[in-house]
Amino acid sequence: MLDLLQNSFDLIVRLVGLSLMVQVIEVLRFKNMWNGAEVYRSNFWLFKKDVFQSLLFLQLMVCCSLIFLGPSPLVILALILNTVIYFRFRGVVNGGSDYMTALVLAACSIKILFSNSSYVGMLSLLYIGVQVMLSYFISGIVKIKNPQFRNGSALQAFLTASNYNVPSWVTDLAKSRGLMLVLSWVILIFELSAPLAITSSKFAVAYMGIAAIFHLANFLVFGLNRFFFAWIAAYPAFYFLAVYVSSKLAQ
Amino acid sequence: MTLSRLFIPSWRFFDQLGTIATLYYRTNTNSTWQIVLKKPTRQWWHLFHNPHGNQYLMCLSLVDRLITEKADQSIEQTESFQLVRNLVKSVVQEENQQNKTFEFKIELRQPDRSSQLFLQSGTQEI
Repeated sequence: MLDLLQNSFDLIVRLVGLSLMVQVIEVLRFKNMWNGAEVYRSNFWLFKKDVFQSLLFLQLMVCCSLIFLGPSPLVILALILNTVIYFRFRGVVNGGSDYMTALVLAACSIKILFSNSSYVGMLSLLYIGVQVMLSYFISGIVKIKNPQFRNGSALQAFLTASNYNVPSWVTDLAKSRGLMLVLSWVILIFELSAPLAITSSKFAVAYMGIAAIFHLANFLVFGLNRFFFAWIAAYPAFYFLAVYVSSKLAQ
Repeated sequence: MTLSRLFIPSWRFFDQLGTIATLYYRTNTNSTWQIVLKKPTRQWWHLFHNPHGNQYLMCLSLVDRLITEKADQSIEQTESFQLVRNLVKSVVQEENQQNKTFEFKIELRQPDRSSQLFLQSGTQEI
């Protein structure tokens, strides 16, 4: 179990480094970010153009270190810089993907801070794993309570009349009420079955495969690319949670 | 957004059908209203690098934040209003550096496709 803990942690740190790198490079390329027309302009010294740009480049170097060298105290620096970036934008940049990234960085930082305690390390990974499970399960619960989601009309509305740039071939498909009904229930069953996936490591692997396809579909339909990387980074903890739960169930 | 929300998220994705807010601007009272946020195109490689797509989503959340904000003071005094104003200003300036003033409005489209005006600003100086 301790080997799996260490290997999972190593992989999480490398993957969250990759996820952060994708996010930071995007911020550096935001339109009108570095001229007088910036929406979130601020006089706070940390958010001035040169200082903030330097912080972003520093974060990029930290990301490279995490990707290529794995876990180190730089995880804590990554968490601090990430929090500064969120404050710079008066909150999150991209909703749920930012929440997952912050949560993974915070849990990894706690594991680094208490590196002498395997118990704290285990709790940190279990916390990430539980949050991954909850991210699907709670999302499923709130959807199934909504009659419009149960009859397919909510999904149809999201795909045909939303502010997201949904591709035309998807909006064409969304005109079929029957297809939307089936798809809605596929999504509901997938999301609500998350707690079952942690009862066996094999279920967990299969679930993560389906979930990765689900996130790719979300990118294709809604353009949510950051979610893909943010959740993939947390999957080793989901696997660790499944191994832990299944071992407890076997006792 | 509180730090606790960041580390203990609610995970309520796509949970309800809400109103769709659309932000418009015009540079003088005689010109036609134009959409501020134009939907970006999507390519396969945007999976790895999608700055404009994510900036578009971030700007949408700014507008959503303004319409859901429960302000004690006048809406024009809120930070959300100022951020949306900055957003429109950046688009107006990008369109033409000669523009000196602008107005903006937010229309809400309900799930039944009916529309209503949520807010129309006064004339804003650049």
